[in-house]
Amino acid sequence: MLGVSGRRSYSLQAFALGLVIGGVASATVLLIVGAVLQSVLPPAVRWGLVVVGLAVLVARHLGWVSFPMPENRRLVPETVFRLGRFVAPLQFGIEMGTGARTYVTSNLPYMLALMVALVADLGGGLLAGVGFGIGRALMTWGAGRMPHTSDWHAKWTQRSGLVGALLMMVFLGLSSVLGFIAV
Amino acid sequence: MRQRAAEPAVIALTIIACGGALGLAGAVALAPAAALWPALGVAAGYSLSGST
Repeated sequence: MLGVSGRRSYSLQAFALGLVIGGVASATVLLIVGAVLQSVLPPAVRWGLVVVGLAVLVARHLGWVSFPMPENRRLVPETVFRLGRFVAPLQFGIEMGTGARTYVTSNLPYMLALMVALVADLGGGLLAGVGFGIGRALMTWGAGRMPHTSDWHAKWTQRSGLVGALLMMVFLGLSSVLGFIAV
Repeated sequence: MRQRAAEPAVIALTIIACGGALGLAGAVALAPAAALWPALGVAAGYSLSGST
């Protein structure tokens, strides 16, 4: 697990940089795939697919439906941080930033991927990737401000339902605004 | 010096406040949609904070 103590901040900065690079990399892939879809589907159809997709994923979040989504079902070994102070955390950050390195414990990344592929322009998609990396880096920042790294995970476990619901609401709210602006 | 702890929920509320402000700006002034995309990304990225 991740933690901060003085000298590790250098590695964590590299990790955070990697997260942003990874997020942008994933966004780029989605934009390339999305370019094909966006070239053949009119905006109304694409936004309709987004609405349906988001509704299904909200139902999945609420437990009303259950189906598997693609994810890398592997835990991250702690030994990854013994490999070096900059390159290793940078590389690991890139892997984590892609969202494809380990389990995906939330539906929001799928929602974001759907929106980037179907309705984002180049700038919006890349900015979403940057934001994704920053969002992931917030965990390392938050954990570093706890007395013990395990405190973060304990509190996260305790608050995950509330946090997940709040993030879902803000995501849907902002998505609605985007849709309103586009249509 | 001991740093002040940052609760996961507090960070989430901060994200919501920033996202809400951006959303409000977008809804009221039709600000460029590009301002909303990074907020969506932050929410999605932060939601994975339990998976390391």
